[in-house]
Amino acid sequence: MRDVLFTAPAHWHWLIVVYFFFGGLSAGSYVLGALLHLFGGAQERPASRLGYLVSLPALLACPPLLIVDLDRPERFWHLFLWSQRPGVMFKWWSPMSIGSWALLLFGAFSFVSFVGALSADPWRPSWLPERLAVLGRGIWGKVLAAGGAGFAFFIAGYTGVLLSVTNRPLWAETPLLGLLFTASAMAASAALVGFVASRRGGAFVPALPWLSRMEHAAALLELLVLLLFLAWLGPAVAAWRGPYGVLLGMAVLLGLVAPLALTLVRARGHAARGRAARGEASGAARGEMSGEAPGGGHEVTALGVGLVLAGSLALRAAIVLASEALGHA
Amino acid sequence: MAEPMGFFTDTTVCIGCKACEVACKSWNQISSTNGGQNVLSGDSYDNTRKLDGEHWRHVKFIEQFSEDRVSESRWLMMSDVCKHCVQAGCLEVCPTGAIIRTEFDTVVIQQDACIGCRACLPACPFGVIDINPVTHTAQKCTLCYDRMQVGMTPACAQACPTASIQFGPLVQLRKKAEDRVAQLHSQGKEEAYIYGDEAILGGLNSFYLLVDNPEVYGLPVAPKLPSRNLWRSSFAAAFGAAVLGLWGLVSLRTRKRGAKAEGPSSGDGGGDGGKKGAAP
Repeated sequence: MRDVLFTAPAHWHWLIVVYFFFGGLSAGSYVLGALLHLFGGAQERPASRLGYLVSLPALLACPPLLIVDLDRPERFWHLFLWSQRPGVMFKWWSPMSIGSWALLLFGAFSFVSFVGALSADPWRPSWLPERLAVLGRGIWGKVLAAGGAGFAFFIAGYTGVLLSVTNRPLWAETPLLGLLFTASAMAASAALVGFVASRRGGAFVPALPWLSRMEHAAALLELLVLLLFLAWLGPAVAAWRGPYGVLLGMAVLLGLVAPLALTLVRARGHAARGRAARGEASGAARGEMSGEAPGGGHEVTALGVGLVLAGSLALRAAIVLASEALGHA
Repeated sequence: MAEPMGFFTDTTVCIGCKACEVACKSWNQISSTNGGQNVLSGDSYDNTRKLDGEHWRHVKFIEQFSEDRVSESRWLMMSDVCKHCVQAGCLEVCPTGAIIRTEFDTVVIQQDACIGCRACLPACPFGVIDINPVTHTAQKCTLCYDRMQVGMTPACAQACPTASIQFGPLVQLRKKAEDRVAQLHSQGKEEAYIYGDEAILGGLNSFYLLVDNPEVYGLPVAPKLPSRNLWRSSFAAAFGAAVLGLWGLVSLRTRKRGAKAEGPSSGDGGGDGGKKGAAP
């Protein structure tokens, strides 16, 4: 019998799964915003700000989920301060300790970037001064983006590391979970940011092709890592015989296969339409007028984003809950 | 620092009376209602089933009977408890500093500091810790830290009628255990051995004399620290971040350059069409 089967489950259930999901979305959206900000052109700045605008709302869901999951929620501050004497509580070798701090600091980056982005956005509420847009501009904006992206990558991946730094079946039997969650977070975030950009259209459209490619690259990496993960586990994969296997299957079908198929179909349709439309008058330059899709077939539909997000949630649920069900109850 | 103290549990003399369980619950004032569930196992004299937040001692009953119940028939009994590992996984991952190593080299969860995050539950290689449904904190054996501080023997060891549970300075216990194994070997019980010497997690301060494989007693053969996965798992995650970050950078850069060099009439499919449309 594997040594990991003599251990007890953590009772980490749906609250934690949903936290992993939102944490990944927030982190991934921030990274996409920062990449467009740091390395994209001027025409991609609106979409970059969209990444920041998506990041903070997703992040706000996280602390309540984590605190409510504690058995003594009123003591959550023990994560940051010593409870019996003055001083800062920080253990870099404890994934939960360093993760709590990273979440707090990433929250600060995400908040400042959000305010900067909202101040420069057409959706700026009237009470928000327009001059706060400086928060996202110039060298300060770039430093903020770079620092925030570092924390964001940490948030995307540490959850998987936290699961691995245990003695539990599946989790502790592979070092790949952090990598898997990072790839999955990026794919889901690219779909989400792409969806919002598609909906808003106009200035947000130029980044759509890149977001689509980013989503596919991340999804491909996720698929490869998932296959490697299953191969790594060997006979332990039997844990997914049953309801959690259905979740894992959903993660692959909804999150990876269906969106790729959907994109292929749409790209083909787009190419055919493009051939038909070629040679027509200059109206094609303005996509919306010619009836041509403005994002060049890279728009993300509600169905598309729904599938990817459901897949991302299912992946985390399949990995967390399958292990929780093993060992002595 | 006081001397390292611990338990030596000689399973060969355990009679399964569960006096240790009762003494432990009694002294530590642990609920006897099992979280409101008074359930009998129905297939064993063992109705405790596992160590958790309100069972800090657990007498395991292992029945080894052949089909005919004659050719092979024996009971193995073992009073299980927190191992007070010298390298403790629970202590390592605790994010609040609630889990401490005491002056007796034992591992204690401070109840006023624990937030119930449950990080220590999956970290323990033995599955010893769980949440106590009354206090909503993680609990396990303290090796009667309060009694030790005033020079008393832990409740279970005091109550044990066969001296299966022995308490004392670790140096003396190790010597006693060695002698006992030698004695059993000389009597022809060659299978007797010590589980929990320095080879396991730097030594278990609560160690056992067993007469069958560890798995038979529900113990891992080679328990490990959770932190063994910390660096390799972190590197894998960092690798993923680097790959995706670089891919994003390169794809943005080359596309920008490509768009500039190739002019407005070409590019990657319809992507440029969209860009042209929205460019100011």
